[in-house]
Amino acid sequence: MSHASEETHNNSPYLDALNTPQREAVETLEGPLLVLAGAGTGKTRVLTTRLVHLLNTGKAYPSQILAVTFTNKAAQEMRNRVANQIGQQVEGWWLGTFHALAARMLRRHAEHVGLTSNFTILDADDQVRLVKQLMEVENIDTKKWPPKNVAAIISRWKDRGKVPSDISQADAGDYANGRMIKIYTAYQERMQVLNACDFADLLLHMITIFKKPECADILADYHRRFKYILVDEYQDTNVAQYLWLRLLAQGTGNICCVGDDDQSIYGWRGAEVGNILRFERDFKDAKVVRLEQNYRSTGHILEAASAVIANNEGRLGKTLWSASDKGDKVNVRGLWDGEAEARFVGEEIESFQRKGVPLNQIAVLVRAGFQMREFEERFIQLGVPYRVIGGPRFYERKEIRDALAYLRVTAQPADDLALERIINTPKRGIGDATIQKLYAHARAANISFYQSMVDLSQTEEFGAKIRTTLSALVRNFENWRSMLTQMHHAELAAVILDESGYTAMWQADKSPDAEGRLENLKELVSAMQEFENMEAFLEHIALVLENQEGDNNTDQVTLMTLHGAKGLEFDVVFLPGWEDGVFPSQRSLDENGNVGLEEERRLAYVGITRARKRSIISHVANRRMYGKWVNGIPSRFVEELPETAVEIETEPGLYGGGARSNHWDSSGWNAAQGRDRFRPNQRLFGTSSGGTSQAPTAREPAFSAGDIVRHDSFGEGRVIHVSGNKLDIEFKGGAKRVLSSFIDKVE
Amino acid sequence: MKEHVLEILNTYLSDNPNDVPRVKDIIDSLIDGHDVWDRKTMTGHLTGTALVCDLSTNMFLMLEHRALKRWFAPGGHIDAGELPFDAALREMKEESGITQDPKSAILVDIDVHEIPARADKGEGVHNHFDFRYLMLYDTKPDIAIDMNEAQDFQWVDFDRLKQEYPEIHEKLTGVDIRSLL
Repeated sequence: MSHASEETHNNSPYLDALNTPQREAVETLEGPLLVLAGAGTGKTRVLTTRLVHLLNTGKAYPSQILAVTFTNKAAQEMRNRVANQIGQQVEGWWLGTFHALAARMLRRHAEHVGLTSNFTILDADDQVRLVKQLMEVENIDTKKWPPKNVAAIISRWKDRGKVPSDISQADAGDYANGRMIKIYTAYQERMQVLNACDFADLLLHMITIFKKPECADILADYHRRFKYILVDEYQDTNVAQYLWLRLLAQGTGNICCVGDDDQSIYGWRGAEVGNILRFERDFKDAKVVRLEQNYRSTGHILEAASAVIANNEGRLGKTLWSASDKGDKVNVRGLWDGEAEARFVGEEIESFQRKGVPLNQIAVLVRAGFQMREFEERFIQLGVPYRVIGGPRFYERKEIRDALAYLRVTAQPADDLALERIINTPKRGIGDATIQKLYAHARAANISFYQSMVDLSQTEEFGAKIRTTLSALVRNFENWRSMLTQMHHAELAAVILDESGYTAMWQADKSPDAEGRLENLKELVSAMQEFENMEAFLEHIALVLENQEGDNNTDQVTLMTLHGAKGLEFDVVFLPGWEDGVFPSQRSLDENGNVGLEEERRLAYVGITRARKRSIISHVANRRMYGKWVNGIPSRFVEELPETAVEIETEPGLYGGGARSNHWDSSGWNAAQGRDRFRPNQRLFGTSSGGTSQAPTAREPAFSAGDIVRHDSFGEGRVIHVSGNKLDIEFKGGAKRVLSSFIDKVE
Repeated sequence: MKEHVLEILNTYLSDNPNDVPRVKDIIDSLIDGHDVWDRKTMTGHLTGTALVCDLSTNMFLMLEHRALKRWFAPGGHIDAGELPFDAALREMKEESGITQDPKSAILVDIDVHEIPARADKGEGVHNHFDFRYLMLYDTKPDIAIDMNEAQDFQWVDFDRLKQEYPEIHEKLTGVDIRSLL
């Protein structure tokens, strides 16, 4: 008895390092297993060890294991870790992303979906081009229905495992003149002719093949082949991926999915939290192991994160705990405005730096890109090195550069590069040839590019069309320039962006990032208000831009969005902008209601748990959003933080009522939250009021059949029948029965 | 649409874990791709029911079905492109003539029940996947029932719900409905 366990023990030293639930997750090899791993609970370690364990115990050859990761990077990492533990490279196993694995399979069976094994995989650009061609054939207005969107709809259907015949007209709606199904069908036909696939097809085709009765042996072959299936980041799988997995797992049933339902923030990509919630139902007798011991964050941070996420309804219930020290409480800081917030964060960072915390262990995580600018400017002023992850820095973004170019040409017409940048943005039909001619003339006459445009717009050099365009542009710039002294520069900037057609260009752009670009433009206009005039602003920008170049310091503060921060960790994390409307984001609430709110809340959870030691949340009472001052009320997530794990400091007088040490006392606040949760078991219903009968109304004129009466909503009608206090009345819209108290007699 | 309803079901089940067996058929139908928006789908299609509650008296609105001569809360079949709540709200307004929106609404119960065949309508036996919403009003809304559908209406007290909606009665027993606002 003890002998056997000792033997396992000796053979598997790698198991010793695991805690009990981790070990259970590694050693439960047979049957379906769902491992719910909270943030920082050693998920990667469990995955790796499980693979090592399978190989070491001889349960499976590498080629009998199917391991799915979410990114290529994760696959590479897993390959290296396993090789390190085993002491040699592992060859021949099926390890990779959903797409890579499905592509590998599809090459072997391509003929069953009318392709040959050397099919090409189209990227997103090819996809859009193809859609555009097909729409043009169909005479569908590609301005009104951008091909990019049509392609996105098709991809979404594919991600949901739907082939054209699965789409009902109701699903398709009236997008693209109601011809979405036709486009989708034509698209798939065209792909076959081209011997091509898009990414989503890889899975979709494999599902189709697996489901074909005549291909039953193919699926059976995979069932025999794969003794063990392992899936990482299961919470982010979409429906097609889920269906593919379910089909493959029907063999041995040895499927192990590792995921965290609280971390799914990819709802907008077609991922389905529902998949993780459905696991226990779909894989009968599935065992669930919860990894709850967090090795990353302190007790207080976990307590705070757990309390927030507990407000979500659609979750499986998992509480994180930490054996490490409770640590510092989560700080919540209420400040006057965005500038004060940036100042506060900057000062705190400097103070951490003095205490020896490396800057690359500090992150500022914002909900939306537009929040970054204020921090960037503050960091530049303080000389704190920083990097922006997941996108260019604010002033390096395309739309900001474009807008600045307009402002520059207005204020400094000799800025050739600026003019060249926007002369055909938005598209005005000014091509390279025209630009070359303008430059040639400028060089010959030794004048600026702008002056060259002024000159040549008045000669016969260009055709009528280009001439008109150029003169219109010149007129615009002259006009804006004359307003420089008369109008507030921020207001003027807004005018310029509107009149030039630049804003309209992004408004018409239906790509997913267009909205963010418009927000950034508004943020730019808003930022201008802090400066005295246009010149001062442009000078400041020139300085900022110069400062940003040549920053290859590695010890830098990280500035990024919450969405980008998943999977990362830092000692210190700042979470600014916790105000309703900013976070949770108003757009998310408006578009997706409670589902959107829960997704935002998962994001809050992700944010808090990025910190190992300190989480610092801030909210402001006044935020300048898009150039307007907005009163901010603290995010509902602030209220959801548990008193025991949080320390609050709020500037006095912020919300009109003097200093507030504690938000939870404020009843007005609670009332403002608009709680819509179903919370039973409070007071007794039906006991005190069960017998209440209808109170008769005082005014009760007598009605009789034939009376002409009037009703607020239904207008005039004729009484056909009277029964007690109810009247049957023939209205224009049909017969109704109503209470007489709501009826007036028409004399 | 389908995913949205699955999401609603998931949320509902986390509040009502004991209801898994009751709603299993709905989830299966959705996952298997049956068109539950089509009332010709005999394995089951979606309906919405509105339990109109007047908080000032804690009474509920019932309508007497003209053909069946039985008392039900307002409700009916879902239309294409509708979510269950839209259907419950629309049917409530059509049948009872209520024009105001409720102050708050809560998905209180989801039920699968068999509807017997009706020769007069040419319908065979089929299932209804009924999403029942509590529609909360501060005071009694003005009622003007459509007499093509119903022949009478009345406000009933909580205990009367036991007859037609025992599950809802059970769920709400001991609950202060005001706290749901």
